[in-house]
Amino acid sequence: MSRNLLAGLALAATLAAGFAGSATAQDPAKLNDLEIAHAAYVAGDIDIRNAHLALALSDDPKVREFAELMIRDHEAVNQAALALLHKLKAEPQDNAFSQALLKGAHDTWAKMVKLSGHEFDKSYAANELSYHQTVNHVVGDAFIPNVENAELKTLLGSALDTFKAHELHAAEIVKEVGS
Amino acid sequence: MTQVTTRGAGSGWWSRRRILGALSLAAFVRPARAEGATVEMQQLKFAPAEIEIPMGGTVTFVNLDLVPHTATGEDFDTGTLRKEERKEIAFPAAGEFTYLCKFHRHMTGRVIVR
Repeated sequence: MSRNLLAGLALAATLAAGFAGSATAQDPAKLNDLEIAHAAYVAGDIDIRNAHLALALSDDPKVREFAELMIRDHEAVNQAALALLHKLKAEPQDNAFSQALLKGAHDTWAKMVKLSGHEFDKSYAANELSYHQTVNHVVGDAFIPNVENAELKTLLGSALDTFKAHELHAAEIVKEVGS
Repeated sequence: MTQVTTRGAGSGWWSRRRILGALSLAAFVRPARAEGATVEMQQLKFAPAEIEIPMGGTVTFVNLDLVPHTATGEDFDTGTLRKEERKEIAFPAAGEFTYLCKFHRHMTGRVIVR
């Protein structure tokens, strides 16, 4: 098994550990609507910050283009979520799941910031793929079936369409930057 | 060139039926009006992905997604369309015009102008 693959698996494991830890602290299927809104926003914000890290550290045009796409799309989704919450006069609720997401992200950033060049590109691509796989699983199988507000459910459904496209795109980037 | 006249108009049921018949025939013979052509950007797809319009017609692209899109071809570009924004593009010449969203390159479509 190559070092690159091991690095990718380690990143995926770190992310998965974040989700697993949160599942112990708070099952994502048991969050209320305002906690789901908070967790979805945090998940999007984490990927925006991943992308800013990539723009700071990568010179690969494909990686940079993907990062710019993540910033553009996740900012748009998060703005739509905030607009909906404003309309509903609701405040998102912080929760153990959101906190576990952030903890996992900080751990990932601490490792990725030490990388550069091609090693960084491979790690970023692998992390984006595993992150979107995990987030899409949580949004599709835990958040959408359990959210009660119809407008939030619709927004999450539309967001999931976008995130699934990101997952496919990330898989292409992983192939392009090599393993 | 055929012109619509007002002879007999408003003189009763028979005249109205003839006028309606003439209008129906005209609609059948003439191509669909260009301003009716709309392509929606939704669920990260162009719908319909392929559309046929008459020469000189227009297509209005409208973004129904949360995220920004473009419809970008060699000969035209809507620019960035955010949620619920739209842009009308004129197609003065015949041909087939393929395009994509420059942000989401798997999103592709085609306008056929006859």
